[in-house]
Amino acid sequence: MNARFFLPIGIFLALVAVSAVSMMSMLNGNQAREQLPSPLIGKDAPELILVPFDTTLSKSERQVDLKQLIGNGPFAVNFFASWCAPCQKEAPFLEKLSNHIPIIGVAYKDKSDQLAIFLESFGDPFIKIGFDNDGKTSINWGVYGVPETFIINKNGIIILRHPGPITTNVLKNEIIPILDEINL
Amino acid sequence: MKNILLISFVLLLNPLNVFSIEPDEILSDSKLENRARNLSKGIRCLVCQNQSIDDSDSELAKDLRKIIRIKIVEGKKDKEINDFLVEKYGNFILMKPPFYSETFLLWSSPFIIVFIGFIIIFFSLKKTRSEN
Repeated sequence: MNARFFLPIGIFLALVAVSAVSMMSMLNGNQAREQLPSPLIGKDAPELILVPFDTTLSKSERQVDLKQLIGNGPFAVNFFASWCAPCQKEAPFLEKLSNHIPIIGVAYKDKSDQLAIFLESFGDPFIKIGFDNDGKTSINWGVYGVPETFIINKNGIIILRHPGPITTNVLKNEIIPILDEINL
Repeated sequence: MKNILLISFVLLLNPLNVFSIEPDEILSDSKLENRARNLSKGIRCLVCQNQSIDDSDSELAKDLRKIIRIKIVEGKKDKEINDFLVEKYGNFILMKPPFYSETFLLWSSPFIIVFIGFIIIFFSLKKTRSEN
């Protein structure tokens, strides 16, 4: 009799507790953006076919050729846009990351003049920048929104993907440890 | 006249009139376009997550709709297009996840719950019978 009476109440209270805890953690910003696992981790980095940003460079200099980078050590690919507010917030941390590894910038649906203003205002941590204006390259990389950052090892394999802006915590807890791991 | 007013009113209320798909995206071949629409209905918009890309206005959904159409025109089969998207985004991109070891619990949970229900009914019936 007792069990019959208390079991439903117990289950109800447990459900309330679970919802309360998850709601509190959301309010505290712990789960600002749910991270979906990327199936690309452990696989070869897809090609980067981009429209060049700096048209004054010669054609060979303008192309972002991953093959040239692969083998020289790890590097990062950052998908961003001048119109994206979290990308502005991320800029100082990207600058810090550029002290560790070279970063290629992929400007998603952006315009040259606006991008130039963005880089002037928030800094330019990139070794190369190109546009992905039709979104095809982003889909090839499984990107679902800017900013998104990938770390590629010296063999050209994606070892980390971080959706959302890079913060102090992300640098400290996610990116730097994985760079240490691959003996940088 | 009254009928026309009534029909227009009903059509106004119909949410299906709101299309996310834009005119420049539509393929001229209606057969291929139908395939694209059907495929799009099964692909999840990862930005809004509870909508298919056929219903979503987000940039990613628009790009995905375009790439589906490009691949259809290139002659790719529906399965090849779905496989391409799963390769890039994982199974989560499918509105209806396939039956894998990871999705076993998801698919089987209704049957498990019904089974547990039957067990509870069986034992409570047995108990009341023995009490009688």
